[in-house]
Amino acid sequence: MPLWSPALGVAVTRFVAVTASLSAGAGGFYLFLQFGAADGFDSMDVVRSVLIFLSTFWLAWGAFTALAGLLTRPPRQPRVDGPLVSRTAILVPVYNEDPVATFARIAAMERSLQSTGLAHHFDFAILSDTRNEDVARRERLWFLRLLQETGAEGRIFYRRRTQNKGRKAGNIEDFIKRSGGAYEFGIILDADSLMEGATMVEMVRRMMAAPNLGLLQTLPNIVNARSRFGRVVQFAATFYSPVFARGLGMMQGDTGPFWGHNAIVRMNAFAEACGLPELTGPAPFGGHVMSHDYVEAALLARAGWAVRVDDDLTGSFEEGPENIVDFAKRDRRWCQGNLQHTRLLFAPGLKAWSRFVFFQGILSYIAPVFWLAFLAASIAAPLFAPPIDYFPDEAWPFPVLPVSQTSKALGLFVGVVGLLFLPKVLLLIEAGLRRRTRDYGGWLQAAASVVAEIILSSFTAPVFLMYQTRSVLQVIRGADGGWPAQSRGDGSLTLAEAWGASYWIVTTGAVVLGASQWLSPGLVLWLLPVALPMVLSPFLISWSSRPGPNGLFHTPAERASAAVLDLHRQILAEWESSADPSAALASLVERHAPVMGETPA
Amino acid sequence: MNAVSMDLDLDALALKLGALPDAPLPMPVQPLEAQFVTEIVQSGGLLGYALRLLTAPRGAAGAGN
Repeated sequence: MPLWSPALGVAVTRFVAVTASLSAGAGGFYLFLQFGAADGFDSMDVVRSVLIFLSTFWLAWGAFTALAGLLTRPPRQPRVDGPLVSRTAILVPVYNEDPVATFARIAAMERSLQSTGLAHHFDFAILSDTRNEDVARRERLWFLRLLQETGAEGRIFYRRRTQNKGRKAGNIEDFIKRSGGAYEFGIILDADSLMEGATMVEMVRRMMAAPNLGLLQTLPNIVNARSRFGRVVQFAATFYSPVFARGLGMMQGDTGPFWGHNAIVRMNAFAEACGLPELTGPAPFGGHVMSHDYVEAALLARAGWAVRVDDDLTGSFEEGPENIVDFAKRDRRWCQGNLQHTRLLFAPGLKAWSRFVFFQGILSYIAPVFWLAFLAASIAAPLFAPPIDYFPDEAWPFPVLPVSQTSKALGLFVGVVGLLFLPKVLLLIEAGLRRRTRDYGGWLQAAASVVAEIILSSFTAPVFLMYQTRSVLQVIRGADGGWPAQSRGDGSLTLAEAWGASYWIVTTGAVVLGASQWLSPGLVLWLLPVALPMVLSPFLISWSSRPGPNGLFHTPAERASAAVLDLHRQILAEWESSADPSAALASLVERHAPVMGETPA
Repeated sequence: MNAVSMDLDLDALALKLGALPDAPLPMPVQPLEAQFVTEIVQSGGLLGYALRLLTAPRGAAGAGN
């Protein structure tokens, strides 16, 4: 019997990460309790210490996930060579998206698949949930243009639902119930996803090699960012995420993640295990399951299927938000979806790790509230502190001064900062040692980008802290965020627009500083890194939404663009130059002359 | 052919060429919520659920057996 197995590796990694994170949280709790009690012990010291425990645990969890990723290499996954013997549907759900950009991506992926010589094993299904009639009409027109461009009639389909039951998850479910029997596999994309044909073929080969694999998730790289904020997010996602994903993979084992897109599913496994019910009660906690992807991964695992993320699969792309406000809007939706998972923590039969993943998702949105509560409690602490007793011993005539606990506070501060920044620094060193920095313009440029990213994310963190806290409070008081269409394209914001989205953050920052000056003047300097970005948030939001100099934040996809990205740009430019797509449809219309004149259903 | 009828014709063509394959696959709804969580929601929250438990007649749970 072998001494070491992948399952044992997963168990050991989980144990070490959970124990180390709990220890870090307990250390923070102990240090802060001593510091807080230096001037007399009171209830606010306990509250703040508990908040420090929770927040430090969460920070440490992220840091140890990165460490787990740094200490491991992606395993070589089995694949089946030779001819493909399966059919795969590539599902593209759309919802009020720009059909020109979206369908140009499909044309690019189709051409990329053609270059593999295996395109005949793949079909595309555009699954429209669009409610805007004008956009829907343009979708039909550009669908024909897509067929004309690719010549893939009978392999690219388009259907529009009359009702959006179940949103995106319901859209996919509707396809499976109607057409899933025709396919062994389904590649689920987003409207802004792009994948190389070779990557899709490789995913199918890996699925064929592992009959127990229900879902295989890729790690999509963010591309095409133009704004300062977008480029920072793009760099961070490309430079840091593979290591974090590997760490996550090490801990999750066969109970891996599904992020809702750029993943392949085994069609019969997904159909058998992932039919989602409507939760009782009204939104935001009831109704349709919003963050369905986490739930579907948990349901596949419950049914005995493996769910895996392969971070070595390249050629998988998506686009990201171009400004802080769009990012916060998307986060509002994710916040509601994750908090809704509180109802599923005790779902029957789930694997323990799936429950822990739900818990992590919930904690990721509640943690900022803990930080904010900690700040508020620290400002208000003097109101609760008992008066200092300089003569605790009646028999001793001289005053006893409180022992300074500054060293413990500094120790805690250094620990928290270390947990925040050390993983990024270690990642940079690892990237240098493994020569990964060559793809980022060399070690020096990668280092400069990491430093700049740390500085910018330090400025944006308090702004996101406020947006996330507001989202959590909105969800708790029962406000449903709905299903807004995603903003795509140029996301430049004027100062007035930024002010409109952040005036309440400015007010809060000013109140924090004012209250601190009044109640705890000694804290003002310590609060400036949090309060100042809040007061300056309109400038930060507007400035970061605009394109900046391209000296930093280079990514591999920018330096050596992937073929499918080039194809997409080329097709999109050509399509956008033709104002009326119907002019290019003559031969298609001619071939189908008998249809012309029928009224659409 | 005027612009309106051309639009209608292209719509009809798009719907015809876009038709999905007819190959149904059943997708049964999965149980997703523990019974007590559903009851908490139906009671209007944790407080309502606790009150319901406290005010329920003793032995009511086994009354049907």
